[in-house]
Amino acid sequence: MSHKDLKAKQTKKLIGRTIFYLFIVFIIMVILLPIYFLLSISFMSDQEAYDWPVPLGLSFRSEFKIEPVLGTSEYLISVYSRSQEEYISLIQGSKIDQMSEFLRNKTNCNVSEEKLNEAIVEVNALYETNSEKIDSLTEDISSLEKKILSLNQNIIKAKRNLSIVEGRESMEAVEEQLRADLKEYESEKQSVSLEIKEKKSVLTPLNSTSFQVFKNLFANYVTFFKVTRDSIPALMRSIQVALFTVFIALTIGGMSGYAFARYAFKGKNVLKLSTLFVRMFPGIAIAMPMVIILAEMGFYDKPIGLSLVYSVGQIALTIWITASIFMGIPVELEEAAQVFGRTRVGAFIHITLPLALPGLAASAMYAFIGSWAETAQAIVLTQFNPTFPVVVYQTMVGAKGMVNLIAAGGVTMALPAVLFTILIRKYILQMWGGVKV
Amino acid sequence: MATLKLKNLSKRYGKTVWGAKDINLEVHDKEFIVLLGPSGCGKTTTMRMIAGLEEVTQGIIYIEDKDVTFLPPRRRDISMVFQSYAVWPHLTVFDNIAFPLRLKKLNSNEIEKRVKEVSDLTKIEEYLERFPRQLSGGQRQRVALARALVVQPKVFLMDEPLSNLDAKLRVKMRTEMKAIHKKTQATTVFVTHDQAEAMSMADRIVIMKDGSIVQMGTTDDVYFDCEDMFVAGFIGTPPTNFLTMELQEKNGKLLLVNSAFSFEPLGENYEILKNYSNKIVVMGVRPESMQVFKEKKLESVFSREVLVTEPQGSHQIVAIELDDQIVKIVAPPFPKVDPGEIVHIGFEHDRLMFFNPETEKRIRKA
Repeated sequence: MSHKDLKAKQTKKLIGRTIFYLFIVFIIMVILLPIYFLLSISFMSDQEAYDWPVPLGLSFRSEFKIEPVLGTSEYLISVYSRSQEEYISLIQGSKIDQMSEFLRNKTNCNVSEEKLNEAIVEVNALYETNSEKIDSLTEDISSLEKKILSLNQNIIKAKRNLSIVEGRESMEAVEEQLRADLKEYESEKQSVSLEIKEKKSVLTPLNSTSFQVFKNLFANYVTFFKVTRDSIPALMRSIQVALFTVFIALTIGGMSGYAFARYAFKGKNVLKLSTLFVRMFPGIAIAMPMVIILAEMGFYDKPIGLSLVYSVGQIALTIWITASIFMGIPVELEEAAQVFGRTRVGAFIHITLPLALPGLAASAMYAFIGSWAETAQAIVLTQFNPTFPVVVYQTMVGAKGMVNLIAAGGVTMALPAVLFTILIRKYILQMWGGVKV
Repeated sequence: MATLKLKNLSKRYGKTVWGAKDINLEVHDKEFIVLLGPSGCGKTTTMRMIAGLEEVTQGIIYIEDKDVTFLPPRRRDISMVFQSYAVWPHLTVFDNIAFPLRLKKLNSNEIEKRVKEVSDLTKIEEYLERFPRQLSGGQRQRVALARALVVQPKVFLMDEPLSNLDAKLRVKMRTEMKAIHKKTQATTVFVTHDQAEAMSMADRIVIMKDGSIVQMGTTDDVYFDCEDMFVAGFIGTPPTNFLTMELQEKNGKLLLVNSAFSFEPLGENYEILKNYSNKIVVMGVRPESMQVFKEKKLESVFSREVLVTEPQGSHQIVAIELDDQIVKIVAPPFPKVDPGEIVHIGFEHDRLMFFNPETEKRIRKA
């Protein structure tokens, strides 16, 4: 009995653990996968991003193949596609400089003209030495391809006849015959295409040269800043807005948080709740009135105006965070500092403030992230001086719709928030063993 | 070191609530004063006013004849030990102690020397580099003490500094603090609600109730010579027994009578009570001022059945019932008294205290 119990317990434990790990994996998939996807797409070239199915792994170089086009002075350049596992044609032409530029735009690889010239010389030499073989092989291949063409025609014809004959009585013999034919054609086509492949694989090293070029990983980022309208000033404006908001939210919110924590006054709870009231209005709902108010103040389309609007919500949050932090710091610590030689303000600055740093840092982070990434209100409240999220948004809805560029913009947008968090992480984690005394 | 004088010191909260009212107190140089009272009696309010942490509604505070009533705490030349220690958690022990000295702009050698002195005195020299969170409650308490000592203030304030320690450590720290006081000779005001602490440490005890001083005096004064029924009931464990007695005059003799017994007040007691004939008085008897005899003796006044006994090792507490009231008597440990036994009880007549039942004040010789 007890043995059975033990076993049941173990099974239960095993099931519990399995569910737990499944849950963890699920969380990782939900959170990390999209981020990884965004990152890897932001590093992809145009050609890679539209190469379906998109390979998720990061690639650092591309493999090119160049071959002369028979009967013309033009050359065909192909690139190796990781999803289709074969070379796909990119461009056919004779002008080296145009081809080089096209490749740079399409694959993010800086294929220089010298490199192309070199490859062309090489492939020409190759061509000359193997011209006979190439001629015979190409002839073979073209005859084989013709064969496939006629086979295809036969197959189509057979299928059509089959669809007519199918299901009719007294036609069974004909149907049987047609089916057998169809099978034969198809197997023949398969063998022929195999033959073509073989011949091509023999031909490839004879009539073409391949070369590898390292990818310029950050090409998308460079392009993004080049093609979007004043994105660098927008970035600076966004940082300005975020820092202004942090400053306003922390000074006003922090001070009121201190007052809420330390003093007893009439209507304290009502007031504290009412600060949250402003957060109940969706930002976009109050954006239109805000346009008028800001315009009258002369702050419309300016970073300071945006941060004023963002501060309203952030102050409420900061009040709640800092009030609870200040409440956790015993007032005796300040009083002791006063007794031992500090002024009231000095006691606050030298004792309470260092102890409250984790909370202040956390609310600074909230305020920064909240105002940094805000888009909806920014669209309404700016016109000629948009913030960075607005620029990214415009790229996204723009006619171009280049996924990799948008991804690059998105990553750029995430970067400052991540950086800011990393910078202040020390203070967020800084706990003096809990402010217990 | 210096004197501290409070004159009509009062604190009003809101419009009607008096936290402290008309506190008049003079603390002499090098004296150890204890403010004692139940919670809410205004002792902490008084101390915080002395420290400058609480605004004064009325009255004046003098430290060494200088009016400091409206000075900020840092200008008063005081130091304080808080109930919660208030040791700054983000500073090391050394920095905590050196904090006041640094603000006085002493040079680092001097600071080091003085920190070392007080840490020797309070026995925390090994912990100077640690943070408060790495210390036990008792050690933090010592740090707070060291920090208060290092400034060599004129007046030393302690707000229930031992109440957060466990019972055993509290008794130990009590002795140590008394020793430290003896060494430093600092004028000290000590707030507590623990009468054992107060009695064992104080030069003078100030007993407070409802924001006013009820009595002040040495331990013996407040124990044996109580000013009113509150003090008699508050000081001492078990507390004073109060017996309601009627004074009757019979054949030119005064008799103290209650339902169970009567006896004649003699000598000093007669002098005190002679003007109260035919009136009700409350007689206060300390538990150890009563005697328990197994046999009837000349001194015994009445007999009673023992309700319960509480053996305490060094003594035993005998409880009897008198007029629906439990009376506790502290008796020597031997001979043992058993519940249910009939015992004979007498009084030490010169230790009896009489109170006016209406004003609850002590009745003294006219």
